[in-house]
Amino acid sequence: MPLFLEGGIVKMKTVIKGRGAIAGVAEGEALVCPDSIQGWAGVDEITGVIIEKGHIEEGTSIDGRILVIPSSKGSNCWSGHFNSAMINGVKPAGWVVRQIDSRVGVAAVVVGSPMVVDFPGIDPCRAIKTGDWVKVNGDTGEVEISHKT
Amino acid sequence: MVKLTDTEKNILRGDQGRLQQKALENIVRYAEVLGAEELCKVTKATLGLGAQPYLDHIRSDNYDQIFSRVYMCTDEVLDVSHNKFSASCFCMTCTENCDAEDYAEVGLSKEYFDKNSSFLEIARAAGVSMASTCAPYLLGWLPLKGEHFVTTESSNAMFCNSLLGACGNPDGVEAAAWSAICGRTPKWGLHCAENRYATHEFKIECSAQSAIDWDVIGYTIGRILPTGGIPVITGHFAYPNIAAVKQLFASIATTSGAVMCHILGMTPEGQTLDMATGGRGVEGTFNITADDYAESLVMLCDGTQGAVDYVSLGCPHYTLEEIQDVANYLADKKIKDGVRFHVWTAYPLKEMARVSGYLTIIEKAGGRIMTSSCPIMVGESIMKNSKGVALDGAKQAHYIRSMTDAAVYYGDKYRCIDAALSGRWDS
Repeated sequence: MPLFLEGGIVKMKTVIKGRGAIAGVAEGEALVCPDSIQGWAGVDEITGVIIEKGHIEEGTSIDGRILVIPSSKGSNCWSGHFNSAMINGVKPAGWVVRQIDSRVGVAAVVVGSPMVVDFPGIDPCRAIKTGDWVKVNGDTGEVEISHKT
Repeated sequence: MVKLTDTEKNILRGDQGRLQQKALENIVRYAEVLGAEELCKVTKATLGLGAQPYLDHIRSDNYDQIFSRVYMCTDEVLDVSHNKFSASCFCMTCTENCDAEDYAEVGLSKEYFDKNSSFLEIARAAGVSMASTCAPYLLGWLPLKGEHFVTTESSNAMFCNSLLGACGNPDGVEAAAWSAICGRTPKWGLHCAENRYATHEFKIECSAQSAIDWDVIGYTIGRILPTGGIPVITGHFAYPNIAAVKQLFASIATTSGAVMCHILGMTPEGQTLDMATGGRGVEGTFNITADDYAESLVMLCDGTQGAVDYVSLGCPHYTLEEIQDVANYLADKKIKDGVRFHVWTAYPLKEMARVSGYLTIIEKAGGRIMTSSCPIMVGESIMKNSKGVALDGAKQAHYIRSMTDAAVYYGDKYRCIDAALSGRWDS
């Protein structure tokens, strides 16, 4: 695993590769949700804060984060909640999705943030930890992870 | 690159108007995101229209502007008010956020009710039929085997894929509208036969007799089902009836992303295990035991006992037979003062309940038959200042926890009616 120096601290960097679904490059702090986020009553549409009861990141906002999820969960209107949040100025900076599904596909089109999906043999929900700095390249399908130490 | 037919190329060129053109542009982009290679024709749609709360985020009274931004995802103001949706796709409305007639009972204003009515009028003019139910199959909206549909209701998608053999993905409000307008959806996922096979077997070892048993089983399967999986249910049980199967499908689609489920020997694509799995076998097998069942119940029903002042039945919307059950159980009984009691269904079924005499019995007992919505669609206003709510749908009990501080109790319709009669939930 390559090492690099940032602010006098040695960090590790890895790259995983999937399929670019929405073009563009985005980077930010990862928000990893191994059980995804439910559609209905999952995200507050004004603040972007996760409101799903018992969710591992309940109380954390998706705004400006690289959202790392396995796929979608729950309501058919999954995309609609991200759409509403985006209209209110709140959205993930980028997405990393282990396996695309139709709900995620619609959310991708609606929100428009760079997205990489479908990682053969790799689970990004395990490869990335919340707080890691992640660069999503929707053009090449590469996801660069600077691990928090 | 998505391969388009000549007709699709013409729509994309604008031959059928800008609204259709924009809808197909979005569908093509959606197909590219999914990795689909072609599109398929959609012949049935249910749509989340009316004054849905997410429309409030657009500060405008101009429906064209609201629809364009929220559904079509563009700042360009498209003319929705004077355009028809696809002529080849039969469209009905999905559940709304208000009862069809009584806004006050669910804590909403006349101003909201009028806005909802005016938005629905535009949908009507665009060729959308009014149904306002999560269970459109009860009203004759029935995509049959091999037919491609879109819907904004996950339990409906589950019902049509699993029981009817029709083909539909859980797309969402926006993509359902795009498809209803241009008559196309990406040929991907459950629209393709090779993606409809079961991946995981669930052997039922717990009680599987009543609607609530199947509701809890569905909730449990959804909790366990790996991402992207399709369950096949096996074991020694009598096939679930319509009341049970619609609750099963609603609850699986609550705790998982699945919108297809085989029931061995019952569903058309799951007559044998070999057929259900396409001869590939399953990736994993889980036993649903009495302990699993009990664990789900703990998640759905508060362990305390206490006062109940709001009782809601009918998720998904009740069949006439279920309304009859309620009427029979409630006959000559009286709901406790201060308890609001709602039975949710589609409004044609409320009319059938009226002419059948069930409405009178329920109203005489102090209850109401409500239509076109449900507590989680209405939202917080319906709970008012409730201290305890009792529900007979796992989907309601699951989602309502994020909307209220009240105690949430879950049980079968008879236990919920008992709570309405006594004003208490006793553990």
